[in-house]
Amino acid sequence: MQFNYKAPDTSVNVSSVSPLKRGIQLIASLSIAVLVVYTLLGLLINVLAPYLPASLETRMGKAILAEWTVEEDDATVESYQEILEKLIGQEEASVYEIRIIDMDQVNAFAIPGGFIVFSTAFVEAFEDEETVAFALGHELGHFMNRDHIKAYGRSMVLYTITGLISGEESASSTLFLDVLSKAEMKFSQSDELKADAYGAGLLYEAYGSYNGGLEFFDYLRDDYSHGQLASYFDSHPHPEKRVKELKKLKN
Amino acid sequence: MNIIIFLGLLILGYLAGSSAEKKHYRSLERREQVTMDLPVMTTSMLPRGTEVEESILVTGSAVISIDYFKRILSGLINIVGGKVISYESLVDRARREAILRLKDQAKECDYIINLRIETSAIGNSANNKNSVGSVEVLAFGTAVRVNKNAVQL
Repeated sequence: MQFNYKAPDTSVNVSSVSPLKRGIQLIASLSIAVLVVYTLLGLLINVLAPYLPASLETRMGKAILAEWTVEEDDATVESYQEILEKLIGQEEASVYEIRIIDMDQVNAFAIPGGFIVFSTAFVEAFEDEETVAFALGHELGHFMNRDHIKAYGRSMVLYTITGLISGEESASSTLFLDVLSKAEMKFSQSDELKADAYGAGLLYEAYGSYNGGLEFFDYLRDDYSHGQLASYFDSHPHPEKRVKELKKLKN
Repeated sequence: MNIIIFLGLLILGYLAGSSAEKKHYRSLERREQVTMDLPVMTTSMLPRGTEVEESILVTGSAVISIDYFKRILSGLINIVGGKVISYESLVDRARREAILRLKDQAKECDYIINLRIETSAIGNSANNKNSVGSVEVLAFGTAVRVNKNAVQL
């Protein structure tokens, strides 16, 4: 037997493809695919949202409300209800229900089932009627645009897609979650501006000025710890931008 | 913030991982040249008439870990399928290193016969079927010293 002295052939077992190139290719193509699916599903939800039965919406709203402690503050609820009536009339205002929840952060939101929710911190921070009227009008704007359903629908899609990817490899899902949540924030920022415009319109009709809105943003601006760049990816546009949009309406 | 940590680890993993890999490959090639005159074979039989003076069990084991960049890359490849190029060099390096360590144990011998190679995943991810963290390659065989005057191979 003759043994041949030969160095091992290294070219067979390791591919010549550069891992970096392959990685960039994969990240780019998967990100595009995920974004396309997300956008399509997001659009589908926008189309379907108006057809959601009212009873289901109320059930959803109650389930969401159950996660917070609802405060028994009848005086505030009553005064807010009166402001609401001033804005849209008694009959239409009766469709909505106002709730105060225990929360340290100044916040207000519209949830399915016609619930307009204010945090206790909000009630303490804003005493001026016109400011509250603007916040109410803003939330009504969300109801008008069906944003409350769309936003919940989109976040459901977001978590489903991320869940599917994290089933495979949790670290790589971080990347996609980040891409998707930035897309979600863009969706949501444009919704907020539309709601602002709607709220400002109602405010002007009822009180003849935009002062409530400007005061509201003044408060937010003082409270805002982020810079302009960080707020780009926040769910709400920067208060400065919102004031600018409001001033455009005023002129 | 999460994405910054993630990208930081990714870049660090890529730079450190590829530098370590290049260095290791250079070392493997150099040592393979030096030890080339010690034949390693998978055959279990020596040619008839060979007079064995000594035979010893030799083992060489190498554990090599994958870097963060390659771990993520393999996760992405897991989604779409295809050649897992990030593990190819990992296994190749571990196998060649294990054989070199095996040869180091048999310096006084003439041949290593009956070479066998075993691979296993070890470390935190060993029980997780979806990922490989570190790979261990164990090479073992029989090193023999023959009476060169008695037979011509």
